[in-house]
Amino acid sequence: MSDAQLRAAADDALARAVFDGDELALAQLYTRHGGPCLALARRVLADRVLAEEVVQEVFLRLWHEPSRFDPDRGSMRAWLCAQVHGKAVDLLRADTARRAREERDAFRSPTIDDDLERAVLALTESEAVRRALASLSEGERQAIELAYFGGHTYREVAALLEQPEGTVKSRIRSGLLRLRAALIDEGVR
Amino acid sequence: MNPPPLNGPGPNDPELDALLGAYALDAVDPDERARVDEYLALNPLARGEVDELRESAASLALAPAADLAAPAEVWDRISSRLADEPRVLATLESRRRRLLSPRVMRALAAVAAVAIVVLAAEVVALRARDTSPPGNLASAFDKAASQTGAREVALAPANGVEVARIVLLPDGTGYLRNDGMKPLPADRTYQLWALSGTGRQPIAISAGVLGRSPRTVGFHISGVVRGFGLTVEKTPGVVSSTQPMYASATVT
Repeated sequence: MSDAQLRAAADDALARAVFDGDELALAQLYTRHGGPCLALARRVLADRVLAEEVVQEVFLRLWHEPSRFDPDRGSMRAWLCAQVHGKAVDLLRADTARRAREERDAFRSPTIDDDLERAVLALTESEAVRRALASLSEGERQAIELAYFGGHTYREVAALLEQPEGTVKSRIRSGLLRLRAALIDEGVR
Repeated sequence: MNPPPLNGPGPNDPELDALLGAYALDAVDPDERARVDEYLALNPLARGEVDELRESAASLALAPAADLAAPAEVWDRISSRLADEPRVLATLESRRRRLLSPRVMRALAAVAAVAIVVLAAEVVALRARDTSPPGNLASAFDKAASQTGAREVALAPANGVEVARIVLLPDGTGYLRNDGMKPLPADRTYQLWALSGTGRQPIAISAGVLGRSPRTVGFHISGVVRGFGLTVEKTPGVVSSTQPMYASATVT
């Protein structure tokens, strides 16, 4: 693909080119999604060095095992974010990383603190996402925030919020489903 | 959990359904993650819900614009490591085992009956096409075929004319040699499947996306495999085939 073709190509087309061994296609995917991936990893890990390592590993994995991305199951962005988040959470749950984070973030409040809005404010899709977030209840937003950005399990979230585990589980699921529906209504796929 | 019908939506488990949101956010314990993985392998509706939930999560993953530029130095490090290891051009996560589609099931039924298989195989295929000269793999095929305990099977379509041969070693190392697979159009690829599971509940696991015109490829499997099948898929391959079997063979 030429530079112009790469820039114009949809993510699925770039994924096929990566499968065929096109490094420039991988570079284009990195240009598109590397920043948000790194921001997510930093948000979870609170450590730029570790976050960069996570992002590196995810893009290298895409290169070495390109079939792991299945376009029938969702977008490239969702796949990359899921990979980054999973690796970041695994690191966070390792004792050493957790201790390091706790030292940096010892008194982090379990309250929502408008983090979700801040995370998306400056984005092209931020308005749509912000409106979608407004459709969530406060309990749903809190539970999702702590689980996703805090890297906590739902049991830990329940303990932090002093809520029954079943309630937290339910709020995370219902909140994500409601968010998805609202984002689709906003035209964000 | 009861086995699902082959052409049905899969079992429904409200307890596991309730975990899907937390699972999508990596907010479950390891044992719960394993249970949900198994559940998703059997239940396409639940799998679809998780995919949707992860799209929601990805929207939240976006951070302030000042942080959104992808740093060049990270790309430099990625780029420098692209050749560090062979590329695996087809794989399945170990827990994403898929049931055979009814069409594949019918094709499999044409393969000779096989004794009950105890465990599902977990297969990871290592395709060395991009990093190993084809001649090396051809030599590896011949060398493997001469080893003690090696099993050879011929893959053939319904007309019985062999199109590929597989040699499988006791340690799970295998090689497939193209003996008559015709080149496919540019947007199609051959895909090799390892067949395991029971007769009532067969499981097909991708053992390799072979490309449109493969020569010899290597792979590795673990667990019990009772057969192999080839399908023709749209590039870059699939994790669960709905295509009829192009050729198949029973491992005895």
